[in-house]
Amino acid sequence: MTQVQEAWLVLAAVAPPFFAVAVLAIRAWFGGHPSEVFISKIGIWAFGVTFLATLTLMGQMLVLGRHEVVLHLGEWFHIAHYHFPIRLVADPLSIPFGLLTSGLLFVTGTFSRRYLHRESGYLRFYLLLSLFGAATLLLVFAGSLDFAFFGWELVGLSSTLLIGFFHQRSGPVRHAFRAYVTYRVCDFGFLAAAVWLHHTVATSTASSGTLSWWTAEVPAHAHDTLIVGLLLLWATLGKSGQVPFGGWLPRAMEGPTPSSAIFYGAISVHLGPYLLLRSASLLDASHLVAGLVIFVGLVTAVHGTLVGRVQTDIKSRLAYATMVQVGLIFAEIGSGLRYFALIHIAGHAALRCLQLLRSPSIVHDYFRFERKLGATLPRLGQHFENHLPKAVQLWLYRGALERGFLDAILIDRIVHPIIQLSRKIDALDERWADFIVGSPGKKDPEMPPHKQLAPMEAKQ
Amino acid sequence: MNTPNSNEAERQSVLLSAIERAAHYLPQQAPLHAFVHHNPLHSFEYLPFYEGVEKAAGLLGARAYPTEEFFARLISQRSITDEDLRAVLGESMEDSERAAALGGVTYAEFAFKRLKILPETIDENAVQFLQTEERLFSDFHRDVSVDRRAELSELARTRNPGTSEEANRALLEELWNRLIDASATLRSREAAPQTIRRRDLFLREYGVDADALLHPFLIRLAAAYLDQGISYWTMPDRERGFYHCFVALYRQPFGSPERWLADLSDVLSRQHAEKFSAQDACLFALQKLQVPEAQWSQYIEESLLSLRGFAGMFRQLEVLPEKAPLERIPAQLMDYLAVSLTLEAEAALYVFRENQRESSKLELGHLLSRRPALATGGADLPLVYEAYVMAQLADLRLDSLGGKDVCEEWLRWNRGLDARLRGRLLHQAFERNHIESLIFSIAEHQKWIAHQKQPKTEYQAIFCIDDREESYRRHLEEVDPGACTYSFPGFFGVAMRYYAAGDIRPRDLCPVVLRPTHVVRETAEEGDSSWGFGSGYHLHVGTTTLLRGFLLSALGLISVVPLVLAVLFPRWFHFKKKSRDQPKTRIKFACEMSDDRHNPGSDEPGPHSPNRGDSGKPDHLPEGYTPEEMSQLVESMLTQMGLKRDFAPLVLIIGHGSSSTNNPHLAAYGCGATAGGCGGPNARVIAQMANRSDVRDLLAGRGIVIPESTWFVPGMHDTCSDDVHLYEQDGIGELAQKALVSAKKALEEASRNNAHERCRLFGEVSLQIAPEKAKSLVESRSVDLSEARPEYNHVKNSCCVVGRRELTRGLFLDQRAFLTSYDPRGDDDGAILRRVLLGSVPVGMGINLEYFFGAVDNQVYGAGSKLPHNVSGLLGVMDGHSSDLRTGLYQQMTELHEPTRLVTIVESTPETLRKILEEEPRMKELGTNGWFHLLCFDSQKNVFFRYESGEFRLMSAQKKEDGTEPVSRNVYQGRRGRVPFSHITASFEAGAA
Repeated sequence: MTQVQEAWLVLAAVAPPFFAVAVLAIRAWFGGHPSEVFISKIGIWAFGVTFLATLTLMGQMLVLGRHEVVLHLGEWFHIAHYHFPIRLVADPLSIPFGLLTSGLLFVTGTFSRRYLHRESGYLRFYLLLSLFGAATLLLVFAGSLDFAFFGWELVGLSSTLLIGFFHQRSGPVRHAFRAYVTYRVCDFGFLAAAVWLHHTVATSTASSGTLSWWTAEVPAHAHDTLIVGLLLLWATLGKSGQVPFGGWLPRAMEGPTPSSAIFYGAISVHLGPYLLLRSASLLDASHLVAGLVIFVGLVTAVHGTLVGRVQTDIKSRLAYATMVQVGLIFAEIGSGLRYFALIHIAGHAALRCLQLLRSPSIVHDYFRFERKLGATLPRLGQHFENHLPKAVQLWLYRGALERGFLDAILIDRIVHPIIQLSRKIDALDERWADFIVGSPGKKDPEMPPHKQLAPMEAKQ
Repeated sequence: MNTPNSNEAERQSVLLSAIERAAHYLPQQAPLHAFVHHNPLHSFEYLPFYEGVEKAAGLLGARAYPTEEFFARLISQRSITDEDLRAVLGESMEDSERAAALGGVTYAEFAFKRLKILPETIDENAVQFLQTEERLFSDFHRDVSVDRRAELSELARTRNPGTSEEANRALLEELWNRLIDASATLRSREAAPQTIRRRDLFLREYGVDADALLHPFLIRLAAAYLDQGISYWTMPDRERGFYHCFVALYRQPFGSPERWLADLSDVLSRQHAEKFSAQDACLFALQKLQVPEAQWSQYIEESLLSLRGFAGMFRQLEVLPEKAPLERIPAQLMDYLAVSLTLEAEAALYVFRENQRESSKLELGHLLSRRPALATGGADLPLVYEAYVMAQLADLRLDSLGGKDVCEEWLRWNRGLDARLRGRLLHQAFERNHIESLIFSIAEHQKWIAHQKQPKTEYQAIFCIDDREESYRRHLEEVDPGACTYSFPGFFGVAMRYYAAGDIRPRDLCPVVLRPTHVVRETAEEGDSSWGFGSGYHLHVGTTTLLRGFLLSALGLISVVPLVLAVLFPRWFHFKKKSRDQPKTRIKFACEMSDDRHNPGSDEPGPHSPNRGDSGKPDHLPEGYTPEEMSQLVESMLTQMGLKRDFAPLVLIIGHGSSSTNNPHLAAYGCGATAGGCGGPNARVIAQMANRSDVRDLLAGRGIVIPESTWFVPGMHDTCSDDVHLYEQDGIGELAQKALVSAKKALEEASRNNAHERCRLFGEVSLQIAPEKAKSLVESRSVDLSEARPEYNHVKNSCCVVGRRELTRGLFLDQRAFLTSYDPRGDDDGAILRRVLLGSVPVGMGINLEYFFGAVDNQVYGAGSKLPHNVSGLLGVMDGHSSDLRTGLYQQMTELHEPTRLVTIVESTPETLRKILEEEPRMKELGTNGWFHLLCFDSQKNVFFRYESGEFRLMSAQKKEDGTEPVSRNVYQGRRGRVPFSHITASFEAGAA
């Protein structure tokens, strides 16, 4: 097998979901009602082909003892010392992630085939699922951080749109918006890190360090390393639901059950750790960043386990359980257990995906547990009741019920002031505009703002 | 506040009565595992049907009738004919009204065209859109007929210059303008009365929703209080009540920095110091919200209904605490109200404060006393649009609209026939069509059947009255005309508290309206053969914790195996698992010694033993039946079905249940007569009773002689996988054994055919599927994790036939009918019929109306789409992350339902039925108010009577579509939708040969 053929295998491991997105998007553009069989077949087989291609690629690489297969697809642009190469890389990090993504998406796609039968958003669902798969594979196989950023953004977009899948209700839309804002705030970190890397080392396409996969190039100055490391850590906080941004994660359980399973149980939440694994060289170079990664991970794990204990619906319970394990994975990566973290990610993704897919079984599971135990289920959380003073118990319980007050603090101390400020700016802007035009605006000062938003009524 | 004066006591009693009143309107659904079909509009049954429906729709914000698109589809499928429309219009109008004419059109003609064509109605914004896009006058309405188009163009040409297009446009514009002018003087439709919740007022005033603050918080609290075991920590001191827990948790300092909760800790500290009860807290909050006493009732009603799922669950667990799936909780609606009103006061007043301008601070009292601004004048555009379209569609002489009074009258006609009235009329027309086809086919069937030769009965089979068994029985008799089927409510008269082998909780297997009378236990004959790592409970909990979760998720790749197998190969995976899970069991139902039952040790153990009474202590049910009791049960069942002689050597008694996986609504698929359970155990009990010689001796003494050669064999029909499993056959005689061999063969084939018939409803299954394939397909559905519709359940239910099997044998009823066996011969006083009706009508009606309203407005009366469902506290489902508990049937269950009330056809005489109704005021009320249709079929004369406003009126059957086919498959093959009721020859022919 020549290297050229191997390189094409890399393409086969990334391209099919893009093809599915294109076909479904074109079909959606022309409207009408394409058959469900057509839609789901395209979605499912795209991942099937991807999975097989990745498996073959892995076999090839193992047999030939190759660590890296690179596919150059050219260059987007080239200005002065900056160039944007489009290249895909298969290495021991992208291959397992690729297998996990395409494999679980194949299963979830198959699950959804029946689960979403007769749903009016059937096409939209498969389109977004394919988009998510395509984006994740692009992120995973991208040969540079800048290129990976495209995948990162598309993952966020598809995630947002699937949380808001049932957009006729306000809850899903609100929670989708929240996830979206969190993503955007954190994505800034990724973009800034990539720019800073170019600024300092002129590339984000890096060489291999001590690990068997490529990692980001380490800047020459320690403070640059620190900045890039912090920015990348910042970027991962949102997508992986770490403290203090984790509030969106349980709220994201608004879409159809299979999409919740694949995004927030399996793949999407593990992309933060993926990015950290890609920038492991920076963690090795800066112990401060590594320490912070461990710190964030452990704090999240403790936060998640405390808050998760009082959740009373199965999906929130699983969301917090996921948050806990992803926190531990952060800690593992920070402390250098990179290969173990990879195993942990794969196992955790598979386990949660299964748990979320069968979350509606929970009622009858409990009766089954009882039958098998032959007794009522034992009471949990006894040590909490037995070993803590009453006042602490009450406070802890309530703190957990309110999710460690994290959401309230974020909204009250950060979001609220920003909104206040922008309102003031808006008012100033309006006064300024009135001053220039020389007449007061159309707005009726006595009318509350929400009533002014209906031009149709105003015309009558 | 602990020493209330008389005024205080009065206020308390007002509060109590207000809460009782409001509680009636809350959903009455038990926790998920105990789902029972019932009428969601139960509290409106005292009203005539259509009145109740409209009142409930107004109160709960629901749609009253199915959508007009639904009716338009029925009209296009001719399930509503012109004749039906004219008939209901005729009944609804006075003669003078009908004859009123305008511009050459009578009112009757106008109304008919309005209903028949059902042009779209659009809202104000859409009309304005058409205006601004200049599409309002671009052409005649698309439904205008060719002739009418020509006529209108002709008129346009005579009146206007220019090309025909311009002339048409000018004509339409003139028409529109005249109607607009006329509408100015017309009083606009009455606006809906405004709600009084403060949140609604502030939402109208400021556009800020206080519920957006309140609900997520309240949902979290209420769910945490009610939780049955999903959470790891339960709420501290839960046994002291919800309000108490709330105060204890939230009066602490260092709480949430959320702004709207800033005062909460102070408020609750004060309430705690003054030893408030939940009632005091309600009164305090109402005062804070400045709700005058006269409005309390309405305010509380609106407040509770705003989160009705949780409020209803508190109520249910208060009234029936034993329905809690795992753990009893002292839930009280009053506690819930206290917490919700306290929080509502915080949230609403916060919104109010935030929206005051510094310059003009407003007191809440001022805002409340301000009269709502009168709606600004202006044309009622949607109405004008309706009138504009109808003027084109009805053959109205447009030149006659010159006079303003004519235009006004035309608008008035259109306004009168509003959406609600149209819905009512269309629904009446649909039901009329349904009833007429049904009675026509039954009447025809009697004539047809007279020419068929009755086959010889080789064995008898007793099924449940369930509509899903209609098709199964039909297929069984087609496959083997030697089979003669009967039906009885699926608990077969055995109202028992049943402990399945290995279960620690009993299940009451009887209709909800009955109490179980005895305890029955199942025991495993072999040891427990299950393997694995304990119960799986610790594994489940472990995955959600920190350290155990770490270990388990690091090893998590193992879960790829069940994940892939269960999703990709559900059937294979399940059967591998199942083969080890079904031990052979026996049932202990008889008490061997007469003093056995007074043994106190025989009562059921455990703190969770359910009891239906509200006394709080478990009622002591006897364990096992005496021979006398057994003989009474058997006698009662046989007498009601009219099976007292001519016993075949083999009598099968087949209960039913449904298996599916990943389905929290499993109980909704079960047998209604066993309260959502499975009727198999009941069948086992009654069959073994009937086989006992002591029971048979007693029966013989009462004139029911069961020959020694006759043997009863119990069985269970899984309505999802269409498997029939037969239980105990030991002791069976030679003759019965012979019949059993052929019965087994027939059952197998009937299962395949029934599966095949059911598959036509599954949209993704090809209509050309073979029966063998269909059977494996339904088996796979019953074990598939990803299947949102394991079966379509009662989706077609629409009628109930009470009478001999001879009436319906060989009649293709398309799974629409509950069939209840009853023989009117020898029951002239109706004593037996009365019991039969009481046993089947309430169950059938509950199922029917649950589907009816679930289909009419699934968002309000149903649980919405299953796709985002999230089980909360093991009690109910939420939509996604944080919503109210959704009660009722989910959308995928009801999507194909065509809502008609249960048409109950009873083989009897009007005299007998009238007498029974006099004795049963409840049934009379339901019948008179029209919550089900009661028809009497006089089989001697082959005529029908319909019960209307207290009287039985003779009906005349109209000719409808019907047909004769050799087997059922020919009737439905290749069709998904409605098929005509048909006569099937196979149920007879082979016997004749």
